[in-house]
Amino acid sequence: MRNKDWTLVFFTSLSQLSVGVVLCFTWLVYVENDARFFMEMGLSLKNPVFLALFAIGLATVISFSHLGNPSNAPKSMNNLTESWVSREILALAVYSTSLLIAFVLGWKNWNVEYLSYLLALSSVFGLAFLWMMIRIYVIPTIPPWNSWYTALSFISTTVCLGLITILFLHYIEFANVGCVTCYARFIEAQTGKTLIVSLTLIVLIEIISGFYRQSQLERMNTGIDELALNKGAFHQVFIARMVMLILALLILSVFLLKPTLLAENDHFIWIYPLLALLIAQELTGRLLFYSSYFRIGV
Amino acid sequence: MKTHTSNAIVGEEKMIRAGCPAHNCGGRCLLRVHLKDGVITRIETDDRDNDTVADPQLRACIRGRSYRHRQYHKDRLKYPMKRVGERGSGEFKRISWDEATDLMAANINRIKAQYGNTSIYIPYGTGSYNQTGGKWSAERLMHMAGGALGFYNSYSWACITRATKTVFGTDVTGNQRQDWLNSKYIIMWGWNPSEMRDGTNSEYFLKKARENGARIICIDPRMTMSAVALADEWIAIRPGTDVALMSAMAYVMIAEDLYDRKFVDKYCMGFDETQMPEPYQDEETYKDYILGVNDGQAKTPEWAERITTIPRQDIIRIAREYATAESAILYQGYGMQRRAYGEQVVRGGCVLAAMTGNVGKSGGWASGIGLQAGGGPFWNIFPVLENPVSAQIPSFLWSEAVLRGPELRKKEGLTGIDKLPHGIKMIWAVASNAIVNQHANINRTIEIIKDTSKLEFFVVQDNFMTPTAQFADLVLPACTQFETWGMEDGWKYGEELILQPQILEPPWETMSDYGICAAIAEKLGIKEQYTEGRDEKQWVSALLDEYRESRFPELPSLEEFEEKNLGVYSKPIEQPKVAFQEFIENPIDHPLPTPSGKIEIFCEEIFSKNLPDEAPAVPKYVQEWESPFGEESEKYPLQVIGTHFMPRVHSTFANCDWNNEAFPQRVFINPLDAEKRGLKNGQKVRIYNDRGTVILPCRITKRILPGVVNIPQGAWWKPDEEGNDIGGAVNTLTSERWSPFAFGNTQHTIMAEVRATKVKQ
Amino acid sequence: MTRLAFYFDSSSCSGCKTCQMACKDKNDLAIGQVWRRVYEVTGGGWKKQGEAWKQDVFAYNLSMSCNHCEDPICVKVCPTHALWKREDGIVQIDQTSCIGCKYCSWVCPYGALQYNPEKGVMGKCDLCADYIDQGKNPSCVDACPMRALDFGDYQELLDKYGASDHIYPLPDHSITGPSLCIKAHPNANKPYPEVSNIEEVKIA
Repeated sequence: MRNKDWTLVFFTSLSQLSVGVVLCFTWLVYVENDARFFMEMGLSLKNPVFLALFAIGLATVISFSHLGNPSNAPKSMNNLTESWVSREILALAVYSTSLLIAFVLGWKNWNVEYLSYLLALSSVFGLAFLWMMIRIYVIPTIPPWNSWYTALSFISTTVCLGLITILFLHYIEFANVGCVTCYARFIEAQTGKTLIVSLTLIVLIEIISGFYRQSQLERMNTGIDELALNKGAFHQVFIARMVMLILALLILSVFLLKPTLLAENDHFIWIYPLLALLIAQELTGRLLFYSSYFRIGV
Repeated sequence: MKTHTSNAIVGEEKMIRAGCPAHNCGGRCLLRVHLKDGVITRIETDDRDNDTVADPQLRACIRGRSYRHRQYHKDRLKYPMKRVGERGSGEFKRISWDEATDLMAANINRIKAQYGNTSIYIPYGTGSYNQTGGKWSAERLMHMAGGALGFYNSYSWACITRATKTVFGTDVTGNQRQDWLNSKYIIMWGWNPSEMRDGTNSEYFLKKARENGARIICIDPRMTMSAVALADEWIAIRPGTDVALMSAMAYVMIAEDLYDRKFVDKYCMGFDETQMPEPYQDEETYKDYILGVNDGQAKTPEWAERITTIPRQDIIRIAREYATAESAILYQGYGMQRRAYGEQVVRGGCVLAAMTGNVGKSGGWASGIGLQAGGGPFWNIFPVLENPVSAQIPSFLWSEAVLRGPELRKKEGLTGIDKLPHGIKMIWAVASNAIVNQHANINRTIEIIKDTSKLEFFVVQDNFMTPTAQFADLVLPACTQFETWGMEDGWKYGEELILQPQILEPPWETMSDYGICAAIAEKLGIKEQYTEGRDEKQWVSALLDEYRESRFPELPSLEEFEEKNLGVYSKPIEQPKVAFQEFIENPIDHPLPTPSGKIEIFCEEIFSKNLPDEAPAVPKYVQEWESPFGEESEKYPLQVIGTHFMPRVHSTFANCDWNNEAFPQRVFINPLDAEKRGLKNGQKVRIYNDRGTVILPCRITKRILPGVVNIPQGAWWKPDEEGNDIGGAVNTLTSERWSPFAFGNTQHTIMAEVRATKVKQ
Repeated sequence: MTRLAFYFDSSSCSGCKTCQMACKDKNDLAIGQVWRRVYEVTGGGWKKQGEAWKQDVFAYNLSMSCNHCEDPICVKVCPTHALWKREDGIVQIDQTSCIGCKYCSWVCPYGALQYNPEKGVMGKCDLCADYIDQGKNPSCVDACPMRALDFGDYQELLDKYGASDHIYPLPDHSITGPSLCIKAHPNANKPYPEVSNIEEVKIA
């Protein structure tokens, strides 16, 4: 019987959170230079770059507990010519290093001119890292993973978590300075609206593709494999994830369509459950992904 | 350059060729045992260069290959122990050998004096089955100490041996196996050599026979391992109905005039009214029975279809195939004679062989037990001497002898004495789990042996704390066959002698069976007499001399065996002997050792027992006392069989992890029966009847007839708090009733029901 | 160039698992490590016909360890290069380089790679490379009581035994190019076969 691979659920989700945050923040800094002020917070989780760094660091630590023999970890880049895992680990190293440099520079306000380029570079490395991670799973002998959905799933996790984190950090910042209406103005303005609209789109894509993929999976012949979740449990967990996504969509639609309504009595506090729901459904979705594993042959 | 690190064994090694420890599997194989620093590191098998049909390699099976895990099992008995709690509680305390042997001697003497030697019993047991180990060492001792109640027949072959002799007057009815390659048609009837191992290489010879053009069919309630590897066709038959099929086949042969009339006229007696001996002219002949002259029921394929569940067209077809084959083998397995009225199926098979003229013929087979022609079988040559006590009971009736010994008479199979003065008071079980685990109706047995007023002293000598040992008053730790000197031969077949040199020292305080008996002999004052001044190795040398004199003139000496690390001496069989050849060539000058000198289809001895409904004088189908046709089937609709199982030799290896991993103990059930009961594969179920309940996970398989379930025998009985057996011992369900003529065990005749357990899994 | 391969005669295999045990003993494998597995395949069914049972039940066995593929997917994916393919075709694992990420066991369609929780590394059949280097046969080949196993150069095996058959439950051999030459059991191409001893063989 397969196991649910919790270490990998968290490794991939945290990694994708990190890359997503970096991507969104890079874009944000590009369209709104002022956003750099976040980086001056330095060693704070309210600093998206530090948060991304923290997430990738935690992910790396967790990934070690997935290994049976971590003492050999330094050898894991020995097969760059053929193994996507080796390449992923190299990309992880390069991405983390680049991000670290960006973080330090942003914090200390050095070479501010090139900061956006450095962030862009980190984003590119992050995307490469994400791509390697996707390729690890797309294997011809593993039918449930050998599909466009793996890429879609990993990318939408990245974007979804990145977007909600950035939106959330903005809210925290505005709440800190006591200006909730400022937040309303933020999400009504172009930047914020783009973020909310994108997030809404991603959630819609996850719902639609989720249903489609689930019906495909439930029809697949798993051969002699016994999956980590039996058919009944697999279906129930899927429903739970869809419920979370739909609830998240409802909250998001209010954010999108009636931000001023939310501004009264600080109903933006609904961003907390929105964050919780989106994180929970991503983890659940990833659990479903690993639990869907079966192999051709024996 | 990459180095290979995981699998190589580095450093100096010793390799010793030795016989696979002889348990009662029927195989006798050769091992190459690798040792490093006095520890066995690896076990391999026969690697002699020529692997020919005449002299094939003696390759061990899964059991021999797993032996390391038995040898070094953490639960090996280490010290002599004395019971301190209630009998059966499993509470023991360690004692010294001195105290243990004192206890033995004191009890032997006391029981002799108080009750007589007929109250001491060494039961059937084959856990150690080579020439110098096992119960034979104990028998020799007791035979020198006034004797003990003896037994005749066995749990393996009670009906088949007795019944074969009623037909042929001898049990040497088998051609040497290489002759199978000359056969054109082979019926493996209830025979599964791939799994039991019925003589090393039997299944290999059958493969070769098939390559030579033989058609093989398996008649069995299961599609066995042998059927998968060897059969062109599987005929699924309801257990206990084999004689119905045989009778219908005979019917077809008679109706279509396909049987060998000339052969029957010349060599048989009892087939029809022209062949009945003087006083029995008016009695029912075999042909009368088949044609239904007396009972009004012709044994047609239609009649047999109802009983056996085999479609009538198939019955007709295989009757024709068997009868018209140029030469054909009807090989009888032993499971179907371990049933109610098991005598009938043996005689029935022999009659069919006679009807088709396959007796004394190359490529044929006379049926019956089939001990090999030529040198005959090998049995033990270790001198146990004559038992001063002439009283004997059937091996299966020891529990009756404990419970109500003085009530037993001839009709319970008691021989050599009219009446026992007392019941069995002392049991000395050596390498035997046939007191609790392998004997029928475990719940009844343990009630009988728990009564210390009946069974006063119970000694168990074994390697492990088996379910039998758990009830002992005194436990004696024996060493394994790797830890002492021994030898083994081809058992039922073959022409080989396999040496078992001592490879390891007996650990802790274990001793060889022989050594334990010698120590007891000392306390009885007969050590010199018992040992003849020899240790185990010297006995082996002496026995080798005997083999050299009687059978293998070119047998190497013990020194040569050791120097050259030979392991085995085998004689190639280029010209396999055919049983009854002389009789067939000249029945006048070489008659069979039967009263008439011919093949006896009608048996006077059986007739004189006057049990026409249970043991008829001609082979008949008799409905079993627990069957799908009786009232009991309403409450208990499923037949249970307890077949031999690949990972074990009976109950040996039941505690070995590798073996249980390869073949976990399950109850095997057909999908149709499982579906009716709402069972899923792997679900825990209760299999139960009035005698007990077994709880096991089920394995749903198409390879068994609907209406039949299989609980492979030999798993160790393990009662839970409610007394249900969660170990999976089929004998929780079996009956102690014995067969009417041969006094054999009928342990496969069981009806039961299967249901899901209510217990959480 | 040698391409070492196994030959397996399914038509002679009884499912006795002596090969499995020989391998376990030689490699000193713990419970849960089954480098050579014997798959029991059954199919067909039962139909009542009056008082008789009509059946077309079929069964055969597949004994398989590692197929030392021509294009081994495990070697490709292993990040530390602990898995590698020798000149003679044997796919070996160097356990001192393995990180125990189990990725190879995900991708192998034959279940050959197995995780050893005690050692924290993967293990697999190595065609008894140490024996082969000494000119001896792999342990399983010499063990089989039915003489149903052989090994040698793939092409030579094909020449000796005729073509190789493809049988259920093996996947399409074009994926990894298994070096396995099989003689099918007469029952091998009947419809709706199933592996019926899954609990005994589903290790990785």
